[in-house]
Amino acid sequence: MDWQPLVLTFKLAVVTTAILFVVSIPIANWLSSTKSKIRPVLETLVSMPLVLPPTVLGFYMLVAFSPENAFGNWLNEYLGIKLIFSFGGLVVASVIYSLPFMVQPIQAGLSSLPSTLKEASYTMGKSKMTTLLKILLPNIKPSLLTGIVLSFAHTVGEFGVVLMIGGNMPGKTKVASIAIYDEVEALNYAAANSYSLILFSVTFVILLLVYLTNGGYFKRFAQ
Amino acid sequence: MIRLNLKKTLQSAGGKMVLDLQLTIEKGEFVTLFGESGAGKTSTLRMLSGLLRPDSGTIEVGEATWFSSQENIDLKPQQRKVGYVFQDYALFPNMNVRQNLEYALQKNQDRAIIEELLEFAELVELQQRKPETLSGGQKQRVALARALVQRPEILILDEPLSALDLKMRIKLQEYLLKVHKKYKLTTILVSHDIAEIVKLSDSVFELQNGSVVKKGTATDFFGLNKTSAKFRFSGEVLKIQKEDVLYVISVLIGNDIIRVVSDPKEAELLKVGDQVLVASKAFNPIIQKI
Amino acid sequence: MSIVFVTMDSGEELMSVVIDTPESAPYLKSGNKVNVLFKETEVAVSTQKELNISIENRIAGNITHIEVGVLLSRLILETRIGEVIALISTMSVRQMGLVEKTNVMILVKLNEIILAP
Repeated sequence: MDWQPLVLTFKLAVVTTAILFVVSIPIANWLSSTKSKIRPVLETLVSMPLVLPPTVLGFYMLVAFSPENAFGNWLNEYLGIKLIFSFGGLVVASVIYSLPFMVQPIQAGLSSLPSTLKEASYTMGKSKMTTLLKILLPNIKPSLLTGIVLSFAHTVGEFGVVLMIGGNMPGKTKVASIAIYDEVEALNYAAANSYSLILFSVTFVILLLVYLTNGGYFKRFAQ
Repeated sequence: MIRLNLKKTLQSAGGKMVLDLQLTIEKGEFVTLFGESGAGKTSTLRMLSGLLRPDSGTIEVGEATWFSSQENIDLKPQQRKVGYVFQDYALFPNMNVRQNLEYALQKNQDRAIIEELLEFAELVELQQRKPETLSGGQKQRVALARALVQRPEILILDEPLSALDLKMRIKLQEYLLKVHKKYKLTTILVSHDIAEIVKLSDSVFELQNGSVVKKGTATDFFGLNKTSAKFRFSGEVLKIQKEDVLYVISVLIGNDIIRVVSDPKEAELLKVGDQVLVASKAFNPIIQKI
Repeated sequence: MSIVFVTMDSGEELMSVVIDTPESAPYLKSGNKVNVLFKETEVAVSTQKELNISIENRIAGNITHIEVGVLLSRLILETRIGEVIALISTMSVRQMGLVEKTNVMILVKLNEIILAP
């Protein structure tokens, strides 16, 4: 069996989750505390990947990142980044695609904290940053864990976006979900089964661990 | 001296309310804001501490201007450093009692204050406990001690004792008084409990629909000085003794000790050292030449 | 000196005698709101409705709770003007056969009523 697609899948999931974690905290923090009028717009944008067919997202990213286009060309010319049919492109697409799975649990966690925690910290002369790092985040650990696991699992399972933007290049963009599709097309059911079983088991174990350690929280969010 | 002159339109459950408030509080005073819920008491405290932005007006504290819509001044809560005790205590659940206090330390501040406050609020034994394991009264003491770490000049107490039982409330009232005197604070309290207000505060402001409708010293405010009773003295409680179904309270008035019978309901609000008013009608005392 | 008639929120009328006059105490004015205070020990209790007695203030009440002490007993009464506490001798409680739920009249002499504007 070729292990490369599995390795690639988990590498993609780890990198995507790490980037999402860093990116989502400020977004979630802003969304949970702002009274701005553009908040619903941003919330909608963040949630779009939940309902949009992944191929739609993939298609637009493909168009946007294509060197034929101004943006893609600019990326290529000035920064030397080629996002189409590359691992970097997969990461960018996955980050956007899994954004709601990280932002929403963190936002829900932050909103559930009484605002007096934050205010108490401010009256003690503590900056917003200190308050976020030392008071808010440590008190929403279950939400953070939920976000990490959901994003990870979701990235492992994605197919459409990856196919659109990454194509199917062995060792570069051929992740497990695509490998399965490939093997099935080639009527190679045994190999498809190996990949599927591994993905199934790993995802099951991860989610089980979350349910066990996180108790009711994850359940509440999933509902 | 704190001078507030504030205007703010508030959205509340009962619809729109315009808070329009002029308030002056002397330095070192213990002041109570009194009034129905929704009258704007908490909003006033939040505007003073910088947690809520007034629509217009000024906030002056001593020589400094904390807020002025005209001069475009609006100090952040971080710069105002008011000691704020929230109604829900707002203890940080991820930290134990000591860490809650230590978090409030300012840069380069002497850590000795932590020991002093732990000692003062009788929290030494509890310092390693997480807030969730504490009783309401203990949480309240932590919140109070924590608010004092940064040595504020102004202490704000938003219905700090409303959730506690009577015994705990009376004990904590003692703490509040001690704290107020010891740290020479200007203290602003929100409370509905008249006995508590009379016991703690120098003066009272009544808020109604966002404006001050009445102010005065605590005893004047509730009409305690204005009974028709003519036989009237103030003194200090020396002893409270249960006898049969009632209490006998010994009160020192001038150099004389008098004894007054009291119903348990009233006696439990009193304790040794309290200043009290003893009054009776002019018709009751007998008078004899000596 | 004045005798002041006070109508309670519940409609009952109470009387008080005070040394003040409307001239010396501006609060003595018809229509002005006052609080009425009297001491528990000054409340007398009677099981008879109509009494030929010089106690002016009479309010019907119902005993909700009795705390019997050695010498004195503490009655908590429910009346139309609110909860009233009466301290009377345990001897009287026994003699009159007072128990919880007994309907009684409470009596307070007019010189025992303090007015607080």
